[in-house]
Amino acid sequence: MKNYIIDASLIVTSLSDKSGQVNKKLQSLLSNRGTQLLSTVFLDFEVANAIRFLDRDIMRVKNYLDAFFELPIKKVDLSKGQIQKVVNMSFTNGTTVYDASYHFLAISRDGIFVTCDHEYFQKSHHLNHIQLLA
Amino acid sequence: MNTQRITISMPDYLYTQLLAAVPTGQISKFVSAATEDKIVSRRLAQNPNPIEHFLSLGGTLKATPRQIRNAISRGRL
Repeated sequence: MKNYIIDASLIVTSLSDKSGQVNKKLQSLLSNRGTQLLSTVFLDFEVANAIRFLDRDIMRVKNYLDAFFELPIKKVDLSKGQIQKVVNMSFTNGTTVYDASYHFLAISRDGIFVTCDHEYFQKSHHLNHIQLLA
Repeated sequence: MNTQRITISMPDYLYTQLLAAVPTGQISKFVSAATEDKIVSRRLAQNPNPIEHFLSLGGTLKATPRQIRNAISRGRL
């Protein structure tokens, strides 16, 4: 089973994606029985917070979150030792611990971190295990 | 947000309960929220596949990539 790790930028970009490119990729990941979608426990908070600041209508925000929470994404908690390694990665590449945690999960599970975050991709694509969308 | 002014009818007993439950000046907001809830419930009943439901929302959130990045970063300590 192939592991794909997703971050908040992919989920939120999917909601704002008019071209359908990101949605198509997400659909293939979610629907493929040969893949497993993983993320860190930060994902729910990051998605909720981003949508909360992008849409002023609380009912729409709740509707987006209701739909998001139902997606088959396994949330992984990192151990203290793993978080220490994530911190090392974030210092080395000049990124946030949050972003590095998704990438660390991809590397540790021999998976692919799928993101729409150009800035993070530019800083960390040399580590491999990462794919930029949009 | 653009709005439309409409006239609706409802049973007396329900109108009485509405007035008792909702502060003056908040009725439009309350009815809008209730309508949206009902529409979402109906959509979910029609399309119980959570993946399809989520993907059906694609393109409805108005935000640029920069705004998305800023919104995600804004929540971080």
